[in-house]
Amino acid sequence: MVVLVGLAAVLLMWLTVMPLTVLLMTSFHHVGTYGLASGEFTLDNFIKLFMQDDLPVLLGNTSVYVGGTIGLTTILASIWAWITERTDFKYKTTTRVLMMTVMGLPPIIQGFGWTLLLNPNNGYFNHLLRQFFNLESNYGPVNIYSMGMMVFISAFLLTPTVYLMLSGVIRNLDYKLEFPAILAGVHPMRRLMHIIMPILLPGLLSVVIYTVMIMIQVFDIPLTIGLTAGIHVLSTRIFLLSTADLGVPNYNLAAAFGVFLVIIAVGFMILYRHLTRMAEKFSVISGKNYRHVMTPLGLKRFGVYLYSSVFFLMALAPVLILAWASLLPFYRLPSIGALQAISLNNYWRLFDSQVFQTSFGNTVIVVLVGSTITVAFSLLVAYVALRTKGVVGQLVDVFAFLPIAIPHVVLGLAVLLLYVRTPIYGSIAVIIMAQVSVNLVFGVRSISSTLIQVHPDLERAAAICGTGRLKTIWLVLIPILRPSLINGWLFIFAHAMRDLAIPLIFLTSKTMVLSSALWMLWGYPNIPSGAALSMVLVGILVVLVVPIQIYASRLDAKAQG
Amino acid sequence: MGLKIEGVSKIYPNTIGGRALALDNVSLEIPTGAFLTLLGPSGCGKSTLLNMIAGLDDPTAGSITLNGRTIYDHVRKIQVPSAGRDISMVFQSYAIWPHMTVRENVEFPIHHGVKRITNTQQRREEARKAVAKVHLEALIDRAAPLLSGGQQQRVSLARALVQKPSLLLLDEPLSNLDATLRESMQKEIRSIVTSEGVTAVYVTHDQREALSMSDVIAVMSEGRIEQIGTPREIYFEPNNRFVADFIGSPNLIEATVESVEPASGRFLADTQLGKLLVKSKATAPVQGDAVTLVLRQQDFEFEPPPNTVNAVNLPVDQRAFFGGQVELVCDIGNQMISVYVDSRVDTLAQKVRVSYAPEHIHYF
Repeated sequence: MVVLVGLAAVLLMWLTVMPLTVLLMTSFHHVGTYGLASGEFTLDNFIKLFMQDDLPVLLGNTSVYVGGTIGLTTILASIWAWITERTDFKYKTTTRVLMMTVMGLPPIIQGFGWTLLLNPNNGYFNHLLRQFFNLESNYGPVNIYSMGMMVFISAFLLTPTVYLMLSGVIRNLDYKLEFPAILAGVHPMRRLMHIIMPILLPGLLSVVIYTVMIMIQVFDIPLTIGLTAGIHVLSTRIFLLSTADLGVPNYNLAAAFGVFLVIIAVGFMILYRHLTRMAEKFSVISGKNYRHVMTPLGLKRFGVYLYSSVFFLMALAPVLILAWASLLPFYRLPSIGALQAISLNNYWRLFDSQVFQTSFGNTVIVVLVGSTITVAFSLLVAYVALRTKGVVGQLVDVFAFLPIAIPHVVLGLAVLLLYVRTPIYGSIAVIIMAQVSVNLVFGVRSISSTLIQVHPDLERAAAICGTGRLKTIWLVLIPILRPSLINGWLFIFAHAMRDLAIPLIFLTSKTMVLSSALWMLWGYPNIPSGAALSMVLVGILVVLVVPIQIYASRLDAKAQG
Repeated sequence: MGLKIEGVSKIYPNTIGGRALALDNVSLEIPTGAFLTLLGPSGCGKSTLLNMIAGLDDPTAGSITLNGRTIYDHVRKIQVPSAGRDISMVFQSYAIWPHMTVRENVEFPIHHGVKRITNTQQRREEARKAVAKVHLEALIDRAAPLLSGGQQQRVSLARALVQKPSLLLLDEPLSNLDATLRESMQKEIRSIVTSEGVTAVYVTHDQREALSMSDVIAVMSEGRIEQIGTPREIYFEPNNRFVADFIGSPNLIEATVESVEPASGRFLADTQLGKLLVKSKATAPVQGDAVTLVLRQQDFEFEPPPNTVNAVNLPVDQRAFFGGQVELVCDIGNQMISVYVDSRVDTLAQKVRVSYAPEHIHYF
């Protein structure tokens, strides 16, 4: 056990504590001095940060973007949660499958797809709107390069995640809590206001806070749309400061921004932990659902059908337009006439290209090795955190949870600062390491949520008959945890595959992966190849991740009776 | 008047395309003010029946009448919603609202429900009285999650009583409590329900609870009522093997009627224990009938005087000491016979002589 605790501590030091220490030190060093290098400390970077003319704009943009997206997402996701959890809507499984699919779509692809649909000059939706309303202008009426549209697109991206969390919160409510009120003849509205809402409140608030934490680090949409629009948020600013896009990178100022963001994030994290604990206090194990809590939709079902169709059409529209673009030699608006030009040539050319071959090979290594290492480390950390009593377990738990709120860009930057002067910088090993740092927290969360339900007696029973600890873990724990391990692996696989922030921070010709290759192709711009590559990414994610997620959710449903 | 259930069935479509019968043509009737217990193992349909009375689940056939008013009728398509049935319920999980105090929990139904009391003063007084009935006045302003299990269940009872319902349903309310608390709560619930004069239907799987609390017990198994009667009837005169096994599991001995003595109102039964004299009931069996005899463990007489009827010698296989009494497990070849003996009288011998009075032998 001591060995395991030691190993977990070393891992956390190496993957979380070290990068963050380096980040902190860099932010206090003079420009050009990084990480653990000695040198005098200075507040220059923070002074520079707070003296920046556009700091208020930056903070304002971030708040409006985060707040707006969460507002819109909450509305969309609440309607969905109501439909699937509280009504007799028939297509609940279809809804879940589609939600998983939307969730599996990389944000960067959503960003590119929406650009094709809504850019003010030749966006397809704009084209349709102009035709429909008979507008003379060649511009607009919708401009994707605006805060409003960034919020709109991000809301579609975020809705599946929030919906899954919300429906989980609602499903875990003991339906019996409503029965006394139903029998007393309390009006449904009053039941909602006086019983359901107050009981769910901590749970709902924790969903909101969690969403805020995700949103602060959302990077792909502000990058693909915000940069062109000139709308900067904190995460894109850190990225710009730490890449060579705009001249020499200023890692020290970037680190100062990073520290600033970490402080905000940790604040939210403390609030989140507090709220989830309160939610647990209120939570009651759910019973079976009776027909009473399922409101018959009646004629309202047509409204629900309309809402569902529009929602999923919008959520999947970016993929559809990219699929279209991937079949044409050069991008044209969808029309019958353009059908003649359709071919798979873009795909063949893409598969032949050096860029694709390098990035595909790198992706396979990064994603497979990265996810596997992450899951293995996560199991170790979760085990130590839950099975060690006292301060050690708690410390491990806190440090494993800490990075959840830290934006990927910041953690990526921190890892970069740690290795920038070492030979592994510029290899894909450093990308793997950064991604393990970033994804560890998801792995730990997913595994420990199952591990907490496994009674330690199961392991004690094995230990009593003389089985060693490692053997017990291997023979008892791992088979029990298998579904959760597979799930965690897939989740990390999908995220590592679509993550853009870290590959871009470490981008060189040798370290290109599929997501950064896509970013490059789009930047040239090479829309046909970019679209083809997008479809390849979507294809891999949908084919691999969605069926297993559906299978897992079926298992969950079965386990809940 | 009272509660009348006629021909209620429930068929669920099961997962493999077939149908599962959760309730099979259940009928029963109890007068106003009676305390009915639905007793049976888990999965016997007792909670399903309770939910149907409450309107939380729908039967697929039958009708339910409460105080002369039909609240459900499958044929006539009558389905009074839960809120209109004038029923309140106490749940196994208590279903106490965790964000409210004791007073708020109890006051909620008469504040927001159909039996709303608009006068705040009067409403508070009603809630206080209900809380007083369950002896929780001292804790009336405490937050509900800070109460113990037993206290929460009292709050749940007060919340049900404050509505002055025509029918009170209790769904295994004590099964989450520890044994000693359960016994004191049994007495308390029964006395509160009696003093309120409310008709009650109580669901439990605990036979002791059912016997000690009820006016009428309906023993259920696999969706059917196996027997309905007073606790004494159910205990001393079970109708069949299931009921006998479930209530105290007495010795059940297969027997053949060898001869009937109309003069003395007895018959002679041939059994593994030898020939036993049994007092006939209203309709006496005829020669050659196969009957099952019920011999309660505690009704054996230990070492009876010579010439006592129905005396047998039994070899003792095992002894289990329970304090006041000892259980002797005796092997009679193809089955075990269990006999309770006063511990101070037991001789610890390997062979004992016991007898069983003919008038105490029940048979079916």
